[in-house]
Parts: sequence; structure tokens; C-alpha cells
Amino acid sequence: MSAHDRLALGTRSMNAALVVSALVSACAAQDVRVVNLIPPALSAERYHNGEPHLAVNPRNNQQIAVSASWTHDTFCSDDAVSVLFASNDEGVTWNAVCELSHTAASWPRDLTLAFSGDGTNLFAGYLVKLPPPPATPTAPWLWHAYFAATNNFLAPVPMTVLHTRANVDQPYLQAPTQDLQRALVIGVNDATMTGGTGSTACNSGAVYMIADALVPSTLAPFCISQRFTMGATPAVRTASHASGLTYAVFYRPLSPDPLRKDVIVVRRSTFTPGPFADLKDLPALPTLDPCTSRDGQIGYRVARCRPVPLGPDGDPWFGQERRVSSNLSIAVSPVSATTVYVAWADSIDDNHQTLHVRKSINAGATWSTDLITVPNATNPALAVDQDGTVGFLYQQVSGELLYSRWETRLELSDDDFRTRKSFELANTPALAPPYAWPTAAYAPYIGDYVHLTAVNRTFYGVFSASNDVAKVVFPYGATFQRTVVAGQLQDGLGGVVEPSLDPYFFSVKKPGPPTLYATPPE
Amino acid sequence: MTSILKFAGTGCLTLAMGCARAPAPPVTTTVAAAPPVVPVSALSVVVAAPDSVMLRIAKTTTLAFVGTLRARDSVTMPIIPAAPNIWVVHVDTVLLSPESVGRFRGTDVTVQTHDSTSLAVGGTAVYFTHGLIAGTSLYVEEVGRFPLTSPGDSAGIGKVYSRFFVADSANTDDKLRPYLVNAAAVVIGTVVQIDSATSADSAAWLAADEGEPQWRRATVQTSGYFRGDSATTSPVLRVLFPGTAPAALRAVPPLRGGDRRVFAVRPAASVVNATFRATSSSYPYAVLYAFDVLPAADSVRVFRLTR
Repeated sequence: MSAHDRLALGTRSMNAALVVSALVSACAAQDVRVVNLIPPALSAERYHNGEPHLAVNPRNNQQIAVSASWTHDTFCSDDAVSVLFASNDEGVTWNAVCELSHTAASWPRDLTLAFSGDGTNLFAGYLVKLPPPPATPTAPWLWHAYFAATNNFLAPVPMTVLHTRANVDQPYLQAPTQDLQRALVIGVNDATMTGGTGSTACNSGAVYMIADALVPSTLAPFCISQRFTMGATPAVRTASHASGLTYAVFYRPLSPDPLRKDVIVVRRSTFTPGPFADLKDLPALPTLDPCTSRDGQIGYRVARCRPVPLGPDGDPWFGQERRVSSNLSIAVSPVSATTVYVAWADSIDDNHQTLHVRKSINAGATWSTDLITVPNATNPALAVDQDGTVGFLYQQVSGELLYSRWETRLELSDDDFRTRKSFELANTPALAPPYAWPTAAYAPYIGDYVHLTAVNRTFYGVFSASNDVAKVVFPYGATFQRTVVAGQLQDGLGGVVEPSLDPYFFSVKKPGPPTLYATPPE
Repeated sequence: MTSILKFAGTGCLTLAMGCARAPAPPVTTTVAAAPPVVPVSALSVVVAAPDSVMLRIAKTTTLAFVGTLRARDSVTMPIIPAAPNIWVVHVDTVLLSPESVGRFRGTDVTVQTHDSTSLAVGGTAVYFTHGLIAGTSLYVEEVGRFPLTSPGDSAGIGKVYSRFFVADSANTDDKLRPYLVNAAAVVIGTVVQIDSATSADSAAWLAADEGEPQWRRATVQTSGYFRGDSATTSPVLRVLFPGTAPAALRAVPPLRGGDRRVFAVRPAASVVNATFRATSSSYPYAVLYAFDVLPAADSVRVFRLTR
């Protein structure tokens, strides 16, 4: 088999076979595609491609871009450009394109991607770590967020870096468009905010609202927490509706124990300047316990006083993955700007980490109880398609220690998860590759996030998992672009390549003709 | 020219440092220009002056190969738009390749050229390139090309590649030099002890910037030094090192007992979070970046760059 051949890996275990048979009736009508993104020419690749993100051109769903942390290599020029994965055939085939600009000293990480709403530009937000100025050579290196753009993501031309900001973490990018206005909405952990990462009301949780994404600008952070916050807000996730509403969700660390957190949703107009002040908690109740009372302040507390522990890197009891406060997702229905879903992780139950999904049908004014919970899981990602079907992607640990595996699963529901269609996209070993240098000592192991989005009636997503082809199971099959021969990764000329972590693209296409909304209905 | 290298004894210095026997006294030796620790690596012996053209080429080259021009204005992948000055080249021999690139000898690649007139179809050359797209094949941009008489023109290949080798080594020197010059000390020694990680270490990591690695502690028995003062060149050097890779940085791989290396150490305060330092006060130095730890075989190069 040559380097250009592809291998479709099918179901190869009794358990997986049972899963498939159970799903056949529910999923027969769906078209499921899973693709390992490493191209044939990089078949010798053995890097740690965790924490992937994805963007689908909303005006041309043939065009899809994927990023993954630590796709670092010297393939591109002079170490200052890295690859994005690009597809021009709706994810059937992928190329690694040298276009992500960074610095020679630092590889990009915490990457997120977004196409502008009009489909004309691909934006990337990511971190690089830059050295201190020469005058203070021993000062710590600082994270810098870069925001870059290209109007041809298929071409190997370095993206133009339009906006930067120092001392920030986890830029999370969206690019809504209205009346030809290309905006960027970026959730971020900005340590330069008033109070920085200290204990204050306006802590590091912020959102940058850039009115014209293609014009270099000074990034103005909007503080998103009006309550006293015990330390940093590491992850802020946003969801913008085409009608002009933007939601954000974040964890609020509590005093005196910052490992207990509220999950808070805020809202504002996307295109009208102003703070995230459009959403308040319910009026205060006559109790002093903030965990049971309401307070009437800005920001609805969807969950209160939840334990959200930090876990160590390489935790063998949790599939070598760590637990951090970035397991957040928020999605607004394209059908209605007032229908919003949030997902978060906490450890309120008797397992490593539980995922929760809740819903609001009144623009965040009130929220449901849990629609679904998933134990021993991480990386929640939500999306809603044009029919209002909600998709919920996550990765769940099953088995114990040496037998533990990551199950990557997509749930689709039209009735708030009272019934759902469940797609086990991948069942992969959690300890292969081992968390050991040099193949996989990077933290986090599979990454702190995955991504899911929907265009028309198709859900598109990306996740990272082991490529140990002797041990992986894909109940719906998977296409490996990289060379696989006789159950082994190979480099193209017969050399065996060690297992590592790869990004996987998937799409789940619902049946029926798409309904296109020129203007999303309200 | 002579230089003074001070060599410590092979024993531990004091009982307070955890040694079980009396230390051997430090030894001062006057030696010739090269240090006596001379397992010389291939890279270390380069002394020829690089030429400016090859320096520029080496700076941006990531793939080099001997190739035969198959076709002009042609491509190997549909993603590459057809355009003038794009060639399909058959790869006869790979000279330099990134780790991730599968073995591409014997395949056709697409080369974006900038000088389309100097080679006929069927002609052979050494191509210095960098990557543009990796798909079913490679799309690379040429940064330098040197014609050969045939794919088997080993004399021609050797002549060109030795120039490249000299230039590439000089570029590496330029990257390495700041790490050595700005280090608190540059020593050569052997890792004799690595402490087990503790639960307090995990707690310290949780309090740190997530970009930091999980730090570990190593004791290095030094046998000589290239830079430093008496505070940094004791026979036993205690250093912190990354037990995991900080994601965004080119970090040094974790140390292992018995490793004999050149260490360019920096004050721990410059890279290690305060919480971890508080539990590791007897470890005043750290190594973090890939160039902070080098093979012992590179000691001649280090010696040259630290003069």
C-alpha cells in the first residue's frame, strides 16, 4: 500500500459491534464521516495534536479549516509559520497548509478559528509566548494573543496578524457578520483587566468586541463579571446570533474556595457598544447563602457553587487528561436568538467530572434544570442546526486505568434530550500513547476543548484521540489519510511510526433537503 | 591562546548537600584552547567560514533533496493552482527532511521556483526548499538550487551540501549563542539524582501559569564549566527541569539519571513559579529551553561560543 492509499478502519470489537447494532435503527438515515487529518505526506508525523478547533465556511460548506495545538514542525519556513488543516471538499480530503504566522520562539496554542459570517475571511485566534524586552532579559515570558486573517485559507500564504494583546489566555474566537460588518467576538482571560487575576469584581474574564475585524485596532476588553471573583476566569466562551445578540458563559471562582464556582451567562448586543449588562440574575431571595439564594445582579447564575477542581496533567485515572475550568460551551439556535444552550463540567457527583447541559428559551432570563448529564467526561461542545436540533459532543472515559478508553460521542436531539440519537464516533485507548516524553508529555493530553458547529442540516466537529491503529475502534468507520499498513502507522517506505495523538474531523449529515435562511427567523 | 578551565573533583562537596563522603578538592587546570572534555560531535568541528548566499539559503531551508525535473508548469496536487514557474520534480535523494515528513525519496513533488530558465526537463539539481503544503504529496518553495551533472553526481552533491552544512551550523550557532551568553552558568556534568515528584509539586503546578511545565529536581555532578562564577560552579549543581513540556515553548526533554550534558542554567526565579520555588530553595537554577541542555559532544562548540 502506498503513502497515498487510504484505509477505512471499521468496527473491530464485540463491544463496538454491539454499539453499532444498537445505533443502526436510530442512525441509519444519517451520513457519518470520520477522517484522520494527518495527510499522506506527513505520514512520519508523531506529534501531539491535541485541542483541535474547526471552522466551516457558512456560505460554502465545502471549505473547512481545522487547527490543533502543537502541529509544530519544521516543515514550514523558518519556524515562524505553522500549518492549518484545510479541506475544499467538505472534509473528504485534507491538506496541511503553511499559513499560521507566529514567532520562531513559540509555537501557537489555544487556537480557535472562525469564518466571517459572509464567508470571505478565515480568522484565527491563538497564543504565542514571547520573550521579555532586552532591558529585562530574565523577566518571565508573556503570553500574547494573536488574531490573524486570510481571504484564501487554501493558499500557503502566512495569515496577516491584525490584532495582538499581551498577557492574556484562551482567546476564543467568533466572527459574526451583519450588514457587511465583519466583527470579531473574542472571549478571553485578560490578566491586564482591572484587578488582573486577583480577587476583585472585574476580574480577568473579558470579551473583545472588534467592529471591523480587518482593520487593526486596539483591543478593548469588556469586563463580564460584576460580582466579586476570587481569581482568574480562565475560559470565556461566546455565542453570537446573526440577529445581533451575543452571549458569553464563564466560571466565577468563589471566595474563600476558588475551586467552587458559579456558571454564569451574560448577554449584550453584538454591534452596539456597551457592557455585558443585558441579563440579570433573578431577584434576591431572603437568605444569606449565595449557593441557594439569588442576588439580582448582572449575569444569570445557571449553576451555583459547583466544585470544579483542577486536576494534574497526565491523570491516569482520567484518561491522562487534566481537569481545568475551561469545560464550557454555549450555543444559540439559528432559528431563535432567544433559545440558548450551555454546557459545563463540575464534580458535584461521585465521579471524576460530570458534564451538564441546560437550556433557556427566553434569552437567558431563566434556565432549565439539567437536560442531560454525562459522568466521567470532558470537552463539551454544543451546536444547533437550522432545524433547531441541538448537538452535544463530548469525550468520556470508560474502563479503569490500563483498560481505560476515550469514547468520543455526539448526541443529537430535537426534544431537549428526552430522546436522542447517539453517535459513538471513536473509541480509542486512553493510555496509548503513554503520557511520557517525547511522544506525549504535552499537557493537556487530548486537549482542553473540542469543537462542534452546524451548517444547514449537517453537524461538523473535530476532536483529538489516539492514532494507535491496532487499538482504535470507529463504529462508523474512519478514513486515515496517513499511511497505515498491516495495522501499523508507517512512514511511507516501510518504517514504523510510533502512535501519537491526531486530530479527527467528523460530519453527521441529517437527511432531507437543507432549508436556507437568508435572515434567521425570530 | 590558552584558557583556564576549573574542574571540580568527582566527589560531593559537603555533607550539607547530602553527600555521604568527604569532597574532593576543586582542581584548577591550565589547558590549551580546547577543553579536555572533548567527545567532539560532527557539528562541533565546523570551522570553515560560511558564504553569505548559503547562509541565507540555510536560514529558510527545511527540506533539501536531489531531484530531476520532470515537467514545467505542472503540479502534483489539485490544491495547487497551476501557474508559471511551478515544476514537478522527481526526488532522487533526500538530504534534509523534517521529522514529520514521510520518506519522500522516489516520489514527485511540486516545486515553486523563482528561476525557471536555468534547468532543462530531465536536468538534475540539489534543491533547497521549505514546505508550503503537505497533502498527497509535497508542495515546496525553492530557496536555492545547484545544478548537478546527474543524480549520481556525488562529488557535486558533496560540494554543495558541505557548503550548506557550514552555513547551517553557523545559523545554529547564532540561535544557540544567546542562550549560552545569557545563562547564569554553563557547565558540563552528569545527572546523578532525580527526585521523585511529590503531591506538593502537583499543588504548586496547579498554582502556576498553565504554560509552565511540571517541574522536577535534578542533581548534577559537574566536571567543568564554560561560564559562571564560584556561586554557580560548585561540583554539585542542583537544577530544576521540565518534567512535562510547556506547550508553546521549545523545551528541553526531561532529564534522566546518568545523562551527561552541557547545561546552560538560568536563575530559577526567571522561569519557575514562586510556589514551586518555595519548596525548592536548594535548587537555585533551572533549565527550560531546548538549547539549555546540549549533548556533551557539543562541548567544543559551546567552548567556542562562550569565549
